[in-house]
Amino acid sequence: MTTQTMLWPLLRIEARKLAGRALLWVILALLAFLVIALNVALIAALAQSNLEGVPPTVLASLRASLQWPQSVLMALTFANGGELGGLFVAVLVGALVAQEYTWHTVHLWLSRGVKREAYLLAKFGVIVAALLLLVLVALLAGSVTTGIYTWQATGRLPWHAVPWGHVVAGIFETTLTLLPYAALTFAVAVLSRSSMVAVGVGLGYSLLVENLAAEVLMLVSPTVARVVRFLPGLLSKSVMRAVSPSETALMMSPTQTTAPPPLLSPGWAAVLLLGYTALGLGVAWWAFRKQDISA
Amino acid sequence: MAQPVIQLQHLHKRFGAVQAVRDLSLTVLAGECFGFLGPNGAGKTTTISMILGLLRPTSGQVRVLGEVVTPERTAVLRSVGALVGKPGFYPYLSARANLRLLARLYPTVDEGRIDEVLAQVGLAQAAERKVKGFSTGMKQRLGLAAALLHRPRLLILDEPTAGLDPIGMAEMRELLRRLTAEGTTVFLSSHLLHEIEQTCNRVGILDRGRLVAQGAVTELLAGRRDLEDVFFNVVAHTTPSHPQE
Repeated sequence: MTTQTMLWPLLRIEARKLAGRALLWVILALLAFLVIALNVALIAALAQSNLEGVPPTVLASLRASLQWPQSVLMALTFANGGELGGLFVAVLVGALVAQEYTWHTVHLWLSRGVKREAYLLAKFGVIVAALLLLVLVALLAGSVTTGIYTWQATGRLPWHAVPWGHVVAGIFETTLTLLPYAALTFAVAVLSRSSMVAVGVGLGYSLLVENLAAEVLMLVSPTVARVVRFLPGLLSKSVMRAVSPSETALMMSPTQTTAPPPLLSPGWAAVLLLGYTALGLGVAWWAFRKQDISA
Repeated sequence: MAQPVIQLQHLHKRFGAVQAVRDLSLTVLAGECFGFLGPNGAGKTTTISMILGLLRPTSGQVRVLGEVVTPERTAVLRSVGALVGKPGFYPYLSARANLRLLARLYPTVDEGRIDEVLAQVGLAQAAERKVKGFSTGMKQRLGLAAALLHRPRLLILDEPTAGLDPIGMAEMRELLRRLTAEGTTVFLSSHLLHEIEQTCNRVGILDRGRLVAQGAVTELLAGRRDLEDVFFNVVAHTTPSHPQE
């Protein structure tokens, strides 16, 4: 049996394994809850009367971003790699890959003649499907919440005004922003064979390197800021700018302490994100091929 | 003459400074039950892991059913059933669901075969229970069911009776005898000498990574009380507390 012919049954096996994991459903439920809670909080803040200091143009932009059609695209930004998505991906991928070692189930497949490359490909293939699911849940939760708000505020739901083609493209672009985080955690899980280490490194990278260290370093010098834009977090923002330009700007402005570094074009950012993904997968593949799997 | 099913040629495995397997050569023929004996840490599981393509030999060659096996070349292992070390299963799935997952690798395995192997290992009543609630013995039984699922030509079992109660051990012995009688080749690793003596027709004894004795059980027993006597004679230097004559 070649890698190609083995891949289909392995994909089905991996999909069944994933569907049975409570962790996946907990993560999806948590993401949906956070997206709904964030939207409700923003809607509630806008409804308050003490917004005199806020310029009317900003208020109008915020209102528009919480109503259809804009809010449908904004829902995607919650799931991108530089936001909540990267964190959830680290937890999910770390557990899915490393627990195969602790449960001794890697042995189960490899000792049955499953090719190592087919096993790895099928696992990552199903992880990509899980990332897509993550993005769809964020889209659904955000769209439903803001849809209800839109209906209440305007008395109608502008279904036809939503750029559905753009939304579909945005689903794939947002999934793309999650890939480097998945590949990084995937590689660490294979190298360490520990879900604690894999999840820890994945979360640590997202929270400490991209959010904290990068912000601090950007204050140090403009040169560093130019380098930081090549990290997956800012590359994700570049890609998301193509998905939802106004919303990305809105999401950056409240917390940005410095002038944001000039982002790369979405096309280049996408290429670099794919490059990071290939690098992570390459490391995982190189390590897995050489690995002694002790019983 | 029976065909060789497992051929190990000058197999070495080193983990850093530790030489786990040294120049191991042996042949297991079709239809026999080969007992692979040795004290704890002798290198039995390491050898089995190399046979199954899980570990890369430092040097030497493994052939299974005539084909070379390496971590990159494992296609022939589809005809092998194995239970190595702690059996691995998905704890959040039932015993049946775990076997169904494995069955997807083998087009010939259907739901009826899953029922059959579950009954064979005495887990029919626990088929729908999640594996996380299983005792060690039950996991061991499920491991055996998984190894038998696709009617393998070669069955490799590493300490299959670990965690089994005396009834389970007797059932396992009976099952292995039946499988051998049906033509399945069995490679049985154990440190339970009595178990090997009762089940196997040929044995190899491993000590500190070296094969120190091999042959038919009847040959090795010549002039000896039992297999325990043979064992302590050849590995005496590593087991100072062995019973003296």
